[in-house]
Amino acid sequence: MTKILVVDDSATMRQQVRQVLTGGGFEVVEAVDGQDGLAKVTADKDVKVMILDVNMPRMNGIELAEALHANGRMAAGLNVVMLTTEGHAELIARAKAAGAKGWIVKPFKPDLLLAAVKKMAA
Amino acid sequence: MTTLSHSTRGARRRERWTLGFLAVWAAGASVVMATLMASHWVALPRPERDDPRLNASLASLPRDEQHARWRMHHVLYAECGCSRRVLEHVAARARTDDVDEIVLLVGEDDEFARLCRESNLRLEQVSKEQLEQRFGVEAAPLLVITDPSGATRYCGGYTDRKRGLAYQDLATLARLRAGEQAAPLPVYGCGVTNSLQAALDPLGLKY
Amino acid sequence: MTSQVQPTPPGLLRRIRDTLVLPPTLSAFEQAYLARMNRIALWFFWGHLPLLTALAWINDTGPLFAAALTLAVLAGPTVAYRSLRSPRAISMVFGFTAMCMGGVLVHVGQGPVQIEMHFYFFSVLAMLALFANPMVILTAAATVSVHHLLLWFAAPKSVFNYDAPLWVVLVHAAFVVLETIAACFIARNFFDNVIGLEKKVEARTAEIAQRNRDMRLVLDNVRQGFLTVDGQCRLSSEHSRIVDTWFGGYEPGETFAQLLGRADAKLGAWFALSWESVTDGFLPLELALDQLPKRARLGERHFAFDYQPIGDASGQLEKLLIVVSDVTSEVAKAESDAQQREILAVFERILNDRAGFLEFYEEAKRLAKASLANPAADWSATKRHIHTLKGNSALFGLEAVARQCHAIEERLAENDMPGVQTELAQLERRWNALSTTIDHLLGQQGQELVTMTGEEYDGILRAVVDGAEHADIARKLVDLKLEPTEQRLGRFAEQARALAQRLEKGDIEVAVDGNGLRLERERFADFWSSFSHVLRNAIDHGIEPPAQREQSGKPPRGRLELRTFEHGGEFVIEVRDDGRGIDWEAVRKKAEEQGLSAQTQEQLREALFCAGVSTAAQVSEISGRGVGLAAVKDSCAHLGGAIDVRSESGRGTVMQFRFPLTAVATKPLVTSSKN
Repeated sequence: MTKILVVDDSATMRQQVRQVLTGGGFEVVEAVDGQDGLAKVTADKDVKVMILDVNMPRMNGIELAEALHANGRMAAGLNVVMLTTEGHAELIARAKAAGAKGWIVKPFKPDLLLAAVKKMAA
Repeated sequence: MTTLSHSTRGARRRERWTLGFLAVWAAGASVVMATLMASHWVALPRPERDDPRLNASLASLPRDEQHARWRMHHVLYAECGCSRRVLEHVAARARTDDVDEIVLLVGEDDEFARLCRESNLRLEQVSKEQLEQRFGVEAAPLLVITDPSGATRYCGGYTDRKRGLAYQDLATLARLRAGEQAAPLPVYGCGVTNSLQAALDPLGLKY
Repeated sequence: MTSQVQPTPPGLLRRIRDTLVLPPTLSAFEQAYLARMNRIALWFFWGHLPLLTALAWINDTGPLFAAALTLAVLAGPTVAYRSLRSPRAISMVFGFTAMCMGGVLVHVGQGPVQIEMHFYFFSVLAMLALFANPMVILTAAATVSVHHLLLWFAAPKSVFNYDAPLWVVLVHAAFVVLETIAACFIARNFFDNVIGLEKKVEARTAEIAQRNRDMRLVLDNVRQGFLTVDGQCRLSSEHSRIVDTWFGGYEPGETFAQLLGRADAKLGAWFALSWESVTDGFLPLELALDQLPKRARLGERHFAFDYQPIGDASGQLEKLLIVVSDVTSEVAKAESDAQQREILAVFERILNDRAGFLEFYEEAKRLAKASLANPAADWSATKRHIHTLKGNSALFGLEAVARQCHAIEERLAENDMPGVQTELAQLERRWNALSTTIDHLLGQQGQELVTMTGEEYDGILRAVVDGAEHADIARKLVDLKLEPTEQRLGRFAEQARALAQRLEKGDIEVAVDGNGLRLERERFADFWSSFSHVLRNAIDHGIEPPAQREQSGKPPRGRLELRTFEHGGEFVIEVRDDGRGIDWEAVRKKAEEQGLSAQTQEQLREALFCAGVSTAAQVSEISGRGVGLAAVKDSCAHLGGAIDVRSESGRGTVMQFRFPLTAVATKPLVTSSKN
């Protein structure tokens, strides 16, 4: 099973993402903030796709993406998808510059999220 | 505007003239063409085999009584291309020794005379009037075949189609000698007598 | 033509006629083509002159006669070519000419190959198809027929013995007829598919142009704008006129993002970014398209965007149809619905708790006036006012006002001052409309009502009957004008429960205990108004969602206690929750970001109540801007009170607001009676 790491400080959001992805046959790991996410993705080399919230305490999503870009993890095949609210073009632009593959606007549509992760994991 | 309508009127008038001319031209051409066609299409008159005038005239031609033989009479017309081609054919083809061949030529022509001489054909000159009055023949080329008794067995054309290359003279002779009948072939060629020529070619295009 | 004058022949005949007779108009192409063909034909037939003469010479059939005959035939087409205006008529003359030439050829070619000369007729009849006019072929065929008929009828039958077998004639005729039919068919097809093509194309083009005009008429008269972009987001030139009206027109080749960007730079940037997802192929196309901006507000208008991908066979995006709708009126309707709902909420509040609502309303009016009169005078005050107004409005069901306040805060946070002004103007309009309605609902506005319970009434009655001291009775009556804290706390409890539901904190338990104390309504108005921030903080940041509580071994239902009591000569208002407690580390970080010192616990507590310090990562409509607690602190200090915070990580927070007794309750009796 492909492993997906969901990094979001909102338990509700993590819960929602987990539900969708588990239903789609993925193994889901959760992290509650950027630092937690960095630690978990560093420890677990099997993580294929990372779903990343932008606004988080202790290292936000963009910083985390930048860190993963810098340490070469993205180049090693980790696909990062940002979760964000609509309209923050500059944040998205930064995330993309840091190597994020795409971004999904909250509130997301479950089937589209699943389709996106499937495409990224393929 | 005036000049324009004026020129349009001019063009119309010119076109009317043109159409008139074309109508006359087309009618004239039609008549001419029909005439030319007639001269080629229409089978010319020939005397019947038992025509007494023909038989009498043929009988009057000099013949060798001791050796009664089959005789072919080629009635040709010096002004007629078809007649010329028949003579060329007769001169060129194989000759049978026990058959006499005589050319009855209307008009005078050096070419005809030379061909007859070279191929050892007997040439009898006849005039148009003689041909019509004595033989009852109006058109050429005409083939007349008489048997050794002097009876006319065939009087008709050389070809079964208009102007084919297949001359039927020898085949006709062979069939007669084998005891068969030979139906006369149509005569295609030229009118010889003045009256026939006038009827055939009222415009005087051909003769 | 006669066929147009006569009644239409039916069926087959009509079809034959339509095949043989060309449509009357000549296209420029046909004109040019026939001019060329006729010229070539004239050369062709003049070329017969030397050929036929030579043939006659060779064949010994009279070259002079042949030349004369050919010239006579040539006279017709030459005159026709020079004088007739209709190229089709000239072609028909050539049809006639061709047959005459055939006659001449057969005549001069007489002899053994004369029959072969007849091939000329058949080949030339076929060649006539080049004129792309069945009438030319018919003319030729008619010529042949006429000549034969002339021969047939005019030749003296008495003289001629027409020996040619009839079947030969019939076979010839059949061949001519067959070829004529075929050649007519070919000529007509040639005309239709090559010569007449231009006319067809013209007609088709005209038809398409008409259809385009119809389409445009439709496009230009619907209230939607249609445009298409290619795979690079470049706009095609075809679009509804209304798009020009809305977006001020564009140059073909511009991208849609540029077009939007001119109206709204942020929107343009957002579209450009979203479009990248469409083209970079990392996300599913469906998702990427779904994330393109769907709504936008440009000036006073609201637009909705709908996207229809047009793919090629391989599923690649080839074009995108963008349907722009002006939804201004829908938005206005939705807003008016929201206002309607607000009014209903107001109405319900007034019925249930007139006093509480009045108080909220008085304060809200004050806040609105303060923020709207001259917002630029003190932006931090404006920010605070707007924030308080937002919180209170949300609690009292004025959702649209709360949303509008939130929009202003968003703009303020982005330092988008023109945006702030626009949103403020919007708020002002809304507020004015709403307050007019509320004033109307309240009727005798500003008149304070005194409410009492039956128990209180009985108490006063008993005091009067018992002949109590006048001062005592007076005090009881004055007390009636004071507000029982329990009533006030009860309102807050209700709001807190609703808020907890909204924030997905579950069905929390709220305990209220007023201990029979009352407070003067007007003096505490400010405090109570800001007090709602404390509640929001407790619920939003304190109480955890049920699932999380269970993980920490807590009962799933969060608990909130609201109490007033007297203690040690002080009047205490207490809020106690059993949530996660204050994250002092986060407070320290935020405080340091704000440049505050946060070494001691005392300093941290100070920082907690400072404007700009919020530990919430997510800014929501409810809380998170660090403005609320600062407002509480201000109003508390204003009444001479102090704040005490005790928080235990994971166990909960207790916040006490302590006021000296002199500041509250009975004092006003004296002052009011003296006044």
